[in-house]
Amino acid sequence: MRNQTKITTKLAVALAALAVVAVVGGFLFVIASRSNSPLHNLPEFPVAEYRQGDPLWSNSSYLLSGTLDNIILESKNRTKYLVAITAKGAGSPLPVIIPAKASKVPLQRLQNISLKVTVDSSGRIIASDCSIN
Amino acid sequence: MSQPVRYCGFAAWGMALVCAFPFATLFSADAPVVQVPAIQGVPAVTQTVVTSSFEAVEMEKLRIAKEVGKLSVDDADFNEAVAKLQKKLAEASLLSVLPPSVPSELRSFLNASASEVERAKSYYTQLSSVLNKLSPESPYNSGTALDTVNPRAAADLLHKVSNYEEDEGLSQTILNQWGAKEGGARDDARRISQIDSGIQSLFKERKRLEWNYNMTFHVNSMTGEKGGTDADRDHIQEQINEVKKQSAELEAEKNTRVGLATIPLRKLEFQQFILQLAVQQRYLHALIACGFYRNVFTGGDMSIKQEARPEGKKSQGTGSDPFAKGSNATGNSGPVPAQELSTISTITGLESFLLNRVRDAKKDREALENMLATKQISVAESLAGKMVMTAKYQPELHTVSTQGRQKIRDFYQEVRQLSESVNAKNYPEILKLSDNLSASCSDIGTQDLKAFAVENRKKALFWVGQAEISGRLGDARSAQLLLEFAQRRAPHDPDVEDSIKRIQESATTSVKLRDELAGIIEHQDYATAYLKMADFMPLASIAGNESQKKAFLDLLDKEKTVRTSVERSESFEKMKAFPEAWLALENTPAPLDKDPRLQEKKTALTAECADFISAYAKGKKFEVQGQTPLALTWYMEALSLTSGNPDVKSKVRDLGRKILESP
Repeated sequence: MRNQTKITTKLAVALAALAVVAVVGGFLFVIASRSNSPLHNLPEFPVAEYRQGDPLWSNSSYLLSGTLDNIILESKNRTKYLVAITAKGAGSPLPVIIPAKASKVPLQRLQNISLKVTVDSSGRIIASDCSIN
Repeated sequence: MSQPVRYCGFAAWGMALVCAFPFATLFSADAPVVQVPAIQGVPAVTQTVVTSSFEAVEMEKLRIAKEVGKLSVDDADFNEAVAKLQKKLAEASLLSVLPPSVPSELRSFLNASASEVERAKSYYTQLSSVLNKLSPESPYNSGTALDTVNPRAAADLLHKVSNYEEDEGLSQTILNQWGAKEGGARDDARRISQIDSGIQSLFKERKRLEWNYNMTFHVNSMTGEKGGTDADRDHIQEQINEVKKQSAELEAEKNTRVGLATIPLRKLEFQQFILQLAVQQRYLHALIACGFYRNVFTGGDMSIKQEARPEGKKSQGTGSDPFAKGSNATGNSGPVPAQELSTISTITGLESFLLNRVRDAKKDREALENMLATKQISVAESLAGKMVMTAKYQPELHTVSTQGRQKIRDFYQEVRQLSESVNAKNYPEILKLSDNLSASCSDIGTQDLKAFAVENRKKALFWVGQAEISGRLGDARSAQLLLEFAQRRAPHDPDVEDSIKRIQESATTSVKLRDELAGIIEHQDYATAYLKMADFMPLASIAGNESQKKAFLDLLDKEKTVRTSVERSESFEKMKAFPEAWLALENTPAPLDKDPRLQEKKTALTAECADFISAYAKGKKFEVQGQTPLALTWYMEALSLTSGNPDVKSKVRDLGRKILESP
């Protein structure tokens, strides 16, 4: 009887240790995979400067992370979309053009999204890569 | 103001009159409210919408043309109504249409003084007493039929009555007739006696002369000479002839005074006299004369002697004269002679006629009193007129009280005034007199008179109103025509008079109004143009002034735009939708957005939605600069601050399309 109790306790401890190892391993995997994404090497999009009309370098890429507020329009052949993104830390939406090929998953409202964006010569914000968080 | 001057005034103002049509009602607070289609996402609100009224002006012109067309027909109807009313008034009172210059016994009766009436009462009382003394069964006797007949007392009373002016000597004539019979009979007897005595004397004288004549042939035996010569005989013969002549004359006179021939003659004369009184409507005198007649000719009748009737005729009946007291069926006191003709009951029939007349007069008098008491003045006047014709000298007529006569007099004077007022179209006076007549007289309806006065006064005022509108619409001819008809229809109405004067005065102000409109168009003062739209609209709509009309309409449209913006803004403001309220002002097209009223309101709204205004303003600024993406950014910001304002949405959609489609 006493031997049976010892065996059960040892088994429980072993299982708990396995679980902790699994969680820590998963977390480390995620961190490792994100640090390996090319978007995270980009500078954050300067929302305030853009809104004030300050000149931004063309062809420079920025990371724009935030919430997809609304899909405002789509082009006639559905090759691109005009969406409203509310950047993190900014309460105001920005109009961003997302080409259809840039998005690997269907766009949906209120999605947390990270975009690699550039500002073209006319001041449009255009996404070239898109990932859903 | 005299008529020519007035018409000149009409013409002058008609030519100058170009002023505003009272369209204020169309655009006042009471104007119909049109539902505005709801803006997307915004609840519909009721707003006053200004509509163009030029169509209404044309409609008014057409309507007034119809009114003018009806004028002559209405005039004919009016004349017919006047004729009907005049006929009614004439039937109500004959005296009202009888010219005062025409002598009228009825008018004399109505205008008798109180003293005349009192004297008439006294006169007729005494006259009735005379009749009562002669005929106890008289309709005026309050005693019994058993009262005694006293011709002598009646004659004494009648003598007193003859002193009255109203009697006109008739009583004295009756007395003379009666006295002639009474005294005449005695005189005849004395005269016949005298004649007989004279005839006797003449007979003796004739015998004496005849004896003397014979003696002239006698020869004297002593001397042998004759008693007389031829000359003596001739002289005696002349004397004899003279005596014979005198004797014959006396015989002739005696024959005329013999009783059997005189009494019927006297009766006939008396009856003729009574008839004359009856024909003159002197019924009381005639009855009195009948009374004397009955009491004078006792035993007398109208029987005619045998010698007087035609040969071979026999008596056909036994009629009697009942007035011949003590007579038998034939009127004689003795046995009825078989050869006498029937008598004629002239006095009985005549007295029956007279009593009927008196009875009718009494009934008429009672009816007259009753009519006056119950205010049936119209029929009372008619009855008085009849009594004047049929009972001209009856106490029933002449003792009517002065108050009663006054009522009838007042009545016909009121009816005459009413008739004159109807002719003069004096409606206030017609109403006043109709009220008076209704109060004093119950047998004349005045509703038609009142309706006539009210209707035509209203019509005149209506025409004045139409003339004013017509003048403002620039139709001077119709205006002048309407005013002339109104003036003719109610020439004494102060309201009509005042209205015409006011219109004439307004004609002078219309010239100033025209100059003011030109200034407002030049300065594009759309606010004033709208405020005075009622005045300016007809001016602008006058034919041949299309440019002015267009310019005025443009001004009205501008003001309508501003007012609509303000009203929309206020509606949103009430719902706490301040961005929308601000946008309603902001989106007003230029240059109206600079209107001080809009600016003032926008300033007031700034505090309520500063973030939205800032975002929208930036969006607008970048849009103007051509920085479409930035403009879109700020418009999106502004949109997020509203509850989906459709204008901002539209902006976002348009700009988004633009940047999405550009390469």
